[in-house]
Order: sequence, then structure tokens, then C-alpha cells
Amino acid sequence: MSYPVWEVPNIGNGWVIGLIAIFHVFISHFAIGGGAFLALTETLALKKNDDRIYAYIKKHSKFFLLLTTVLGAVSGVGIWWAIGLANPSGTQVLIQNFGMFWGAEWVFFAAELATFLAYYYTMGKMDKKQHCVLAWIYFGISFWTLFVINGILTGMLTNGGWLNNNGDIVGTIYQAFFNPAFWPAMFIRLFIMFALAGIYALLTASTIKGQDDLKHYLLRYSAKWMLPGLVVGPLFVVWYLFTLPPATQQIIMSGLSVIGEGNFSLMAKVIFLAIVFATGLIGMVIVGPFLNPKGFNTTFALMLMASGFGFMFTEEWSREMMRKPYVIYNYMYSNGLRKNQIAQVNADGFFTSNAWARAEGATLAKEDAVGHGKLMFRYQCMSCHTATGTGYRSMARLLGERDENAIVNLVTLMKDNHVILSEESKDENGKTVITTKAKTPYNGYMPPVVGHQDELDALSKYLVTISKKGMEAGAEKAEAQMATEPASLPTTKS
Amino acid sequence: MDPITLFPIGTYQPSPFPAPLWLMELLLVVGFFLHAIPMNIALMGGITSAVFLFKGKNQPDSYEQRAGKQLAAALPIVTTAAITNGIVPLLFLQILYGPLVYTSSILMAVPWLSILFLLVIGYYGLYIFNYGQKKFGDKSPWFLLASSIVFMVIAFFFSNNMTLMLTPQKFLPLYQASPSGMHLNLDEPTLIPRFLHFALGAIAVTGLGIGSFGLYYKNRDAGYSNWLIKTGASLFLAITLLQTIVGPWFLFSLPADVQHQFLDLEHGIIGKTHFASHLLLTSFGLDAIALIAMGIAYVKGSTKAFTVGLISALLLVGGMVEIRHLVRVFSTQTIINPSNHPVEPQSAILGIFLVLFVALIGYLIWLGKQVHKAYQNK
Repeated sequence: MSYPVWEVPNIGNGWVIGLIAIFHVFISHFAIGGGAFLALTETLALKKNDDRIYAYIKKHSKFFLLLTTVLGAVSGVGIWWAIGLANPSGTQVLIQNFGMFWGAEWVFFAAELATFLAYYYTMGKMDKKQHCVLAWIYFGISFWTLFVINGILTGMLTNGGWLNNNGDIVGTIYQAFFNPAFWPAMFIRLFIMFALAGIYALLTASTIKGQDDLKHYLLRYSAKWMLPGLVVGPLFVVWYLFTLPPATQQIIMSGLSVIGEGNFSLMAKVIFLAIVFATGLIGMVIVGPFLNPKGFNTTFALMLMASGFGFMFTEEWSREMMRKPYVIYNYMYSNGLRKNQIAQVNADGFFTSNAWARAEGATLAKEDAVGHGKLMFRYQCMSCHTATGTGYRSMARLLGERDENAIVNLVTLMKDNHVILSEESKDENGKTVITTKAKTPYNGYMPPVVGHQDELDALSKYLVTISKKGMEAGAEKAEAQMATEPASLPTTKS
Repeated sequence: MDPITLFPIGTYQPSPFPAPLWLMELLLVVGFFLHAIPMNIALMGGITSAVFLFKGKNQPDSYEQRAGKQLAAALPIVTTAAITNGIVPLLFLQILYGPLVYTSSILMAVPWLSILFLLVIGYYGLYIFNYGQKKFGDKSPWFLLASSIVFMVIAFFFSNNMTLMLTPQKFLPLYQASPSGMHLNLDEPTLIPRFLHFALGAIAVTGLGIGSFGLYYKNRDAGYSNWLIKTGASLFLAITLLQTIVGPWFLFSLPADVQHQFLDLEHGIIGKTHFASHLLLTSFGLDAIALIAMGIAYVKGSTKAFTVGLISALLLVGGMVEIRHLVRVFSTQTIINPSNHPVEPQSAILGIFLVLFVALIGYLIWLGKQVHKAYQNK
């Protein structure tokens, strides 16, 4: 709310974060799970005193080095930068509140990278036992990077007693960090990390040439890394789902309950896709490298990687969607508006409350309602919607066939989008039961529109200009105007 | 019209800062110092090693070849250190100056975000040299050169953002000209001298790195050690002499009110902020000591002289880092003052962070010893 909006055509700025984040997560999870893989595999090589396994570890760790220390590390910074561009207010909340947690995360990150570089560059130079210890140290440290980031990430959704229902901070930051979803989410991530470590290892093992027995052994060994996720993973997913805010649970369940009707919600679709990718992946690993290592090749390994990426993509996307319409659940909406600001902004007016909208508005004529409406749209809607065309959640497309009246009604409805109604009724035993219900159908999906009535009217006017009907009316008006004006003759200059 | 309408910036979030201001400022400055050293070597190390390798192209056993290869082999690790150490100052910059730096970053979002892609390209360029020498032969140093050039583009984008954040009067017109984040800060008078000052400084720091390598080789290979010290000292000398032009150019390109905090030539020398003036003058003194010591090291190959020069130069870099911070404070103090924001130290996690930080230093020393031992045994 207090920053200019970075306008990214077609995809919106949110997807810039999304694309970098999914790419990063696919690598960073490998950095941690792969650490466990290196440590266990090196222990295996040490026990068996098998130089061929050492040779494989060397090759695998070079791949690990080039992928995790470059792309993994840079894309991690990339998420931070991207969220700072797309949602500076949300990023500020994270660093002002979790600042020293980020500091601790940096310490582990620095130690993690240093350890891996030491591990990689001393391979074959250090005493084997000591080198194996270094691998375990690496995994231990990288686990702590997960521990810290997991507390922050889950704290953004299930922030426990940190906040009250009005969005005021009433608890401690430690309540937000060790929130209800902390443990299940951490175990889920660990299982995913182990599975990804296996998938990446299948890729590098698939390239072994001329040593079929070693290759088959390593393929089966790598495939087993999927097991923890397969066996106990679902239990932790269920635990995780039970820790989610009730409204989010309701959206998931109501979405999934209408699967049969074919019109389930986007979140349910994404979760469904994640399940498809996960089960498909596990099935492919069982029938592929585990049962038929002979027939397994690099192309198959790349297909598994693609499925793994598909799973991560959908899993992370659904996790992000669970937080909607907030960026920090119950505290700050996706557009940077804090929940506890709503009444104040409605009383003072949006242009008074938002310095950037005010500054931009000051350059417009007072009577320019469409111009002011465009600014309302920019600062309140563009964090999730593109305006025209066929872009991501394009407002013009979503408005569909709505005419001016319908748009005014929609905006009016959106003003109360945060309101929860309570109803008292008696149950069969005569006891008073209070049921709550959102006043609008968009509650839980979108933030409320805030501002004075004239500001809301301005937004409606702008939306009319970009809607299908508004565009058609505009075109007709222009045509009519052209028809009434005499055609101008081309002029020649002498 | 109120000032905020004329010059909108961002605002802090209402949550108090999680640590005392002095500590966060200290971490910002010390963190930047720890970032600046490897970053400077990563920035100019590619060019320097490429020059060595091209010079010693026909003499595979020459010191140039040896130093070029060793420096190039170290560059990926140095780059990793530069990136990792860059996180701390950027974190505290965002906490303390978020309302300015988030806004300036949004205005130049595309070049700002492209830094990450450039970083990956430059990083892989270094690895291609190290793993692709067989494949690319004599041409492989070009990858080092290309990496340096890519890193310089990154440095230039950083200079743009770090100067743009100091000039919030430009924010609104730039944003209204285009909200797509395609801006740079090219009309800024301090941009070019600032960039040149820092980019040249990076060559000098690379010289320090090469000479330090000479110190390491003192008892192992005297001839090579002597060459490294002389070469490192000569690089430092040449560049630092050039800085006697670029440095004042940068200083006098600063807005008068900022400049006068450091120097007030109309009323003597001492500027309005005594600490800033004394720091600047001390830096000049350190510069002079470093130049004399490096001069001796260059002529005689003396390790003692180089060590004195190295310590003075590192202190000088530390002083420059603080001066850079003060330029930011002086440029923005009428617009934003972090000390006005409430602070509520989160004691437990703050304590854990500080303990971890100290433990990290201890751990890195232990780790370094293990690596050193492993290489000595082989």
C-alpha cells in the first residue's frame, strides 16, 4: 500500500516471484536432501570400501556444486529480490519482524556453502573418515537452514497466537515462528527433499557407463529415497491440513467435494494435480529404476525430473494459494493493505491514506474519475490482476458481460468483503448456537476494496472503461462521433 | 502541497525494529566490508587473471600462467563469498532504509532483477574456465574476461540503485514516465565518478589479494612470492594513484550539503560533522601510508612493507565503507530517519544470532585449517 506498483504486462508481478520461487525450491530442496544423500552414500562407500562409489560421489557432487551453489544460491536471493519488488510491504513485515531469524538463516547458509566447498575441494585429499564427517556436518547445517525458513514460511500462514482476529500483533514472534504448522510442514519438506535427492541421483547414476552392476545398484539405491515420502508422507500432509486456518480448510474441502461435478476450485485443481504428479512419480520410480534398472536411461531420468518439477510447481503454488487473499495470513492482504487498517482507510479515504496514490492523484484533474479509478485499480488490484487483454487474472476478462450497474454492484459488494456475519439460532436442545458466515462470496479469495464512496465510484468508472461492454460502448460512441463529423480531406503542403 | 505528495517514498511497517539501531548499523557497515573484499576480487579478478594468462600464453611455466590459473581457480569460491556476505548488508539496508531502497528498486526492477541472471552467467563463466580448459584451450581466458565484464554491468546497476535511492525527488516523475521498472539513474551526477571510484578500487583490492597470496608463498617459493608481492603492490599503486583524480571527482560531485558534512573548504577543512571529517582525513592518512608501503614493496619485494601496506589498505577500505554509509545518512536524513522508528529488541533470537555469528567465525577458522591440512598432506 505504501509503494509504487511494479507493472509486469501479461503475467503480473506475482508470477515473477512464482517462477523464480518454484525454480529455486526445486534446487534448494535438493541442496538439503542431496546433503543427506551424499552423507549416507559416502558412509556406504566407506563401509564397503568401494572406490567406484567414491568415483560416483565425486561426479554427483560436481553436479551438486554447479547446481546448488550457483543456481540454488542465486535464485534464493532472487526470491527475496522479487518479493521486494512485487510486494515490498509484505517483505518489510517479514524483515522487520523476523529480521534476526533471517540473520540466523544467513549464518547457517554461509556455513552450509563453506562446508560444501570444503567438502568438494578436499575430496580425495582428506582422510576418508574425516571427509565423511564433513558430509554429515554439511547435512546437519543445511537442515538448520530448513528449520529457520520453515518457521518463517509457515508463520506467514498459520501464525498461531501472534495475531488476533483483527490483525493486530498481540503475541510474540516466537509464537509466529513455532506455529501450528511448523512441525508437519518441516517433515513434509524433509520427505520431499529426500525424494528429490533420489530423483537427482537417478539422473547422475543414469549416466554411468560400462559398469552396469554399479549403475543398477545405485539406481535401486536412489529409488529408495522416495520411500519416506511414500510411507509416512501422507500422514504428515493430513496433520498439516488440520493446522490450516478454518477458512482455508473450508475452501480446500468445498473445492475437493465438487470434483465429481467437474467445477472444482482452482486451488482444488492444483492440489489434485500435485497428487497426480506425486503418485505418477512414485509409480514411475517403482516400475522404472527400482524394478527395471536395466531399462532405465537418462531420458527416463529427465522425465522423472520433469514430474518432480511438476509436483514442486503445484505443491508450492497450492501452498501460496492457501494464504490468499493474504500475503501474511490475517495480517496483510496481497495488495499490502493491513487488515487492521481497513476501518481507518475507509474513514480517511484511500487517496489520503496511500502516499503514492495521493501523489499520482495530485497530477490529475479533480473531475477525472476514470484516472482516479485507474489509480485505485493500480494500488488495490494490480498485485493480483492485470488490467486488459488476456493476461493473468485479467480484470477485463473477469468482468465478462457485466454492464455498468453490475460493476457498481460488484465494487460495492467488495467493500464489505472482509465482513463476517454472525447469526444466532437455537439447536434441537434449545441451546443458542452462533454461526458465522461471510457477507460476500469473494471473502477468503480477495481483499476488500477500501476508500470513500466517491473513490469506489471512480474505480467502477475505470472498470467500465476496460470491460467488454464498456469497450463496445466506447467504440460505438467513437463511430457515431465519426459519422456525425464531416470527413476531413487530406491536406497538402505547398 | 505537502512534501510527501511531492516526493512520495515508502513507509516503515508499524512493527518495531527487532534489534537496536546501532547494532543494525554496525551489521550493515561491517557486513558490507566483509562483502566488499571478496566482491572486489570477484569483480576484477577475472580481468586480472585473463591478462596474466594472455601475457604468459607462450610460457606455460611462467609466474603469469601460474598466478592466472590460481587466481581463476579461486574466483568461484570468492564469488560465493561475495554473494553470501552481500546478504547481510542488504538485509539491514532494507530494514533501515526500506522506504527508499524498495522504491528505487521497483523503479529499476528489470535491470535490478536482471542482476541475478547476469550473476549466474558470470558465475558459470568462471566455472567454464576452470572445467573447460581442455576444451577451449588458449581461448578459455576469454570466459574470465567475459565474467568480469558481466560483473561490471552488475556493479553498474548497483551503483544506479544505490544512488537512485538517495534521490527520492526523482521517484514520482520516473514512475509516472513508466511503471514497468525499466529505469536507470543515468542523469545522476555522482553516478559515473562513484562507479569509477569503486570499480577502480576493485582492481586495487585484487592487487591486495595477489600480494597476500605472495605472503602465503613466502616460505614455499621465494621467487614466486616476490613476483606476486611486486605485482600485487604495483596494481595497488597504479590504481590508487589514479584514485587521486577519481576520488576527489566523486567527493566534489556530491551535493553541496552532503559534501560540507565531510569538508568545508570555505571555512577551513573540517566539515559540519566532525566524525565524518576526521574519518575522511584519517582515510587520506591511511592512503598515504599504504602508498608508501606498497611503493617499497614494489621496489624491494618486501613482505614486511607489503604487510604494512595491506593492513593500511584494509583499514582504508573499512573507512571508505563507513564514508559510503555516511553519504547515505547525510543524503537522506531530512527525508527518513531510522532512529525515529521504535525498537523492541527480540532478545532471545538476537542472542542466538550473535552466538551463531561468533560460532560461524570459529567454525570457518576450523574448516579452513582442515582444508589446509588436507592440501598439505597431498
